[in-house]
Amino acid sequence: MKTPFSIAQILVTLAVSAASLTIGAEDSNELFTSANTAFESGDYGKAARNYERLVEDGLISSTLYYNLGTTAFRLEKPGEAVLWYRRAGLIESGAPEVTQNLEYLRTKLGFLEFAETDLDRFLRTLPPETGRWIGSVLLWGGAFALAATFCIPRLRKQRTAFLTLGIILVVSGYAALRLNQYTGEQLAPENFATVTSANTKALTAPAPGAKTVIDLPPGSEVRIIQASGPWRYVDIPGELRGWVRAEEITPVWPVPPQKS
Amino acid sequence: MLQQLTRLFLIALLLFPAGGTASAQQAENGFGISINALSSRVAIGEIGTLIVKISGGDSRLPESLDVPGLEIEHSGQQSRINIINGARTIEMTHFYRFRGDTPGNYTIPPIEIGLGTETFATKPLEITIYERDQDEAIDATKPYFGKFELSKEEFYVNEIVPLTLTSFVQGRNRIQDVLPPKLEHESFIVKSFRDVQTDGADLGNTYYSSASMPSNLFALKAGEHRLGPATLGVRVADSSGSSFGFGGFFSRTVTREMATNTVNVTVKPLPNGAPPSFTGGVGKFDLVANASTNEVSIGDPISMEFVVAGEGNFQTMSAPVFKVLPTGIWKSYEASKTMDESASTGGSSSSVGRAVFSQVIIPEAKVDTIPPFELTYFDPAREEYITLETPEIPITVSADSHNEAPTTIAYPAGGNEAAPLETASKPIAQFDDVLHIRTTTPRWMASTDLEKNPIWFYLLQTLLSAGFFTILGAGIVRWFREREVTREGPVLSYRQSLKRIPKEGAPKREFYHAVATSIKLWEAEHPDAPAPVLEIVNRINDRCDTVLYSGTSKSDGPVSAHDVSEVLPILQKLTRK
Repeated sequence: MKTPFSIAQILVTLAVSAASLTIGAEDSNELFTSANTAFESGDYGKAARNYERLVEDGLISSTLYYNLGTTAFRLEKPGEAVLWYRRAGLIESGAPEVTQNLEYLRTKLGFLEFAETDLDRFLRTLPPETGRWIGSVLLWGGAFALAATFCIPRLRKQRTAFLTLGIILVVSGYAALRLNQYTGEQLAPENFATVTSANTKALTAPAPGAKTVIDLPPGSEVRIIQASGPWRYVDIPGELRGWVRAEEITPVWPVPPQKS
Repeated sequence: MLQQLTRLFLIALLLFPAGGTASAQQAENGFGISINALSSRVAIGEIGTLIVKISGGDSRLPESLDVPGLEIEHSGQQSRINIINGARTIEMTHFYRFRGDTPGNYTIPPIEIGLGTETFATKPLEITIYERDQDEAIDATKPYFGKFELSKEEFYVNEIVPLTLTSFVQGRNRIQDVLPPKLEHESFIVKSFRDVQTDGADLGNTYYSSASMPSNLFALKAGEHRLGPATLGVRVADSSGSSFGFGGFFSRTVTREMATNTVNVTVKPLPNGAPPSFTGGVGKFDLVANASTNEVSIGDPISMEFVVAGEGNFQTMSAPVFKVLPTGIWKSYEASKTMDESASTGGSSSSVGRAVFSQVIIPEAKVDTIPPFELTYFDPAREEYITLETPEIPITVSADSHNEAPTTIAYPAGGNEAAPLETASKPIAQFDDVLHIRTTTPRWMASTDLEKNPIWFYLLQTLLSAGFFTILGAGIVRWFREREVTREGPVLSYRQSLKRIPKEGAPKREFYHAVATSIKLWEAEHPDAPAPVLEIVNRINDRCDTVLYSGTSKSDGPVSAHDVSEVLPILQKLTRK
């Protein structure tokens, strides 16, 4: 299963905010259990409502998201099921149930997903803002080396070595910042959305009568480039771009709606 | 070699021209051309010689003659000038060598040449290529020849058949060395020739030295085949060469190549009805089996060693097989084979030897014995298939650590063949539905916005910026100071400045500029100078200003001695306190 988000970024965020729970754990567990009971009894609508109440309370749990995905599937909302499974995978990377169910939905729905490169996989393993920190440190190191080369007379004998070091550090720092920029633009979870509506089409223009670029099966993954009123201009797997209605797609992260 | 052969007979030819097969065309003016063969009957594979004689001149002859079934190539030429009664005639002799691989009669067509204004042509020449069998192999009319002997002319496919190739050379102890013989046929495998036996015998009242090379062969394909001629090569002592009076120590050797006779053989196919355990062996063999261990666990490997010894063809033989396929009881892997030719005691022509097969078998169930293995071979002497069988080998098989209660399976008796194992395909996921919900208690977390720009990141940037600009600022200040010092030059004292005042004859402007500079330095060094001294100094200073800046005085000319003597002594007095 492809995970187009920085797992480490999400986990760090969650760890920082774990202490700020807004409702008591006992109430949450009770509500969760009642949702499970409703699901077991076949009342998927009630189960979904109870699960969503926990989400509205700002609670985050891979188990909750996973159960929401399964409930959405039972309610014949395959796009939402994929969305929730992706959110669960964000919290619990490599969860076998999530992977298996997504694989099942992939075979049934034929949704589109972005291909993942080795560089993407590597960048996603890094803590958030790693590129910014490394790039900053390297750039400053290079600047200090260059400044010392010309401003400290005692270092004049090692001028060539300091000059070389400074250039290497500056170039490396620039590369790190570029990678950070790439991560922010291409891999940031906020940029991704999942098609949750059936019969969704990507259009050539933000107008109802525009021509179709491609059909987007439920669960398809898109990258939001631009928001324009009720329309979103998106990257589509397969090096395509097009316009989709905002209500037909749902951002994967952050999880809306949140309790204020 | 062919050239030497040719030259050997050349002398005889020239002395006794016009052999039995000669044909010629002679003109009245002495021009003519003729063709002869040293022998018009040549065995398959042997080299024959054609001689083309041109009288009264010469002409370019083709490098090869195109006769289907014969290879004919020009091999040399010789000229001779005859003076008879003052008349000078030229005679050119061209030599061709030829050989044929198929028996039959061949006609060499006329060769046309132009001599003077006329065209001459040879007459057609008949050549016969014949098969020389083993009975005709010995030809005591030749200085050297080869012989090919095969012990059988009718045998089975894969049956080992001994053979001998022999080189004969006229004279005693003539053979110094033997070159590797060549005997090839696409339907036969000929073992390499490793042994050489030298001897000699009288053949037709002529003594010949001989070198025999025994070996063996076996056929791959049934049918009628003609084997040979083989090509033999020996190095013989050159009796015609000079040895500088030191006898054989410095004697030269020459290489002689010869073609042997051919042998027509009949290869019979193996009879039908071979048992399943027939693995290709033809001959007469014995079989012994050994197991590496007799106490194993289920799944442990046992290394079986099968030693097949005897006389026959080991190359085409494969390993013994289970008498009954032990499906589900024994797992076996492909056997490796080692040929032990050193076991042979009958020389390179002997087919005695042994082959050792190593095979790993693994028990998959509890059994008491290693079942018998079978090896079937074909005995050409008895013309039937013979099956050898190893005895059962008692073993103890214990349960392996992964299977606490292994199933005891009785070994199927009576030769019932079990179905062969089929390769199981790996199951694939069906993906018929999503997995059920999780009912474990969740680990709750609360959401928050991602903090992308923590304050301490910018704090660090600020600190680093401060450090960087401090270093940079210090460097810039230092640079400006150094630059200013460089521009202003070094600071002088008043005494030092006096030494820099130009002498008489220097430009007046330069002189007074130096004086003014010295006065400035004096004033800087003596801020509390007494008034009378200051008055004198001011007067000199005014004079400097007048010369340098008023424009009323000519400042371009040289300074006069008067000016110098008037100013300098005063300035020098100012050095005193």
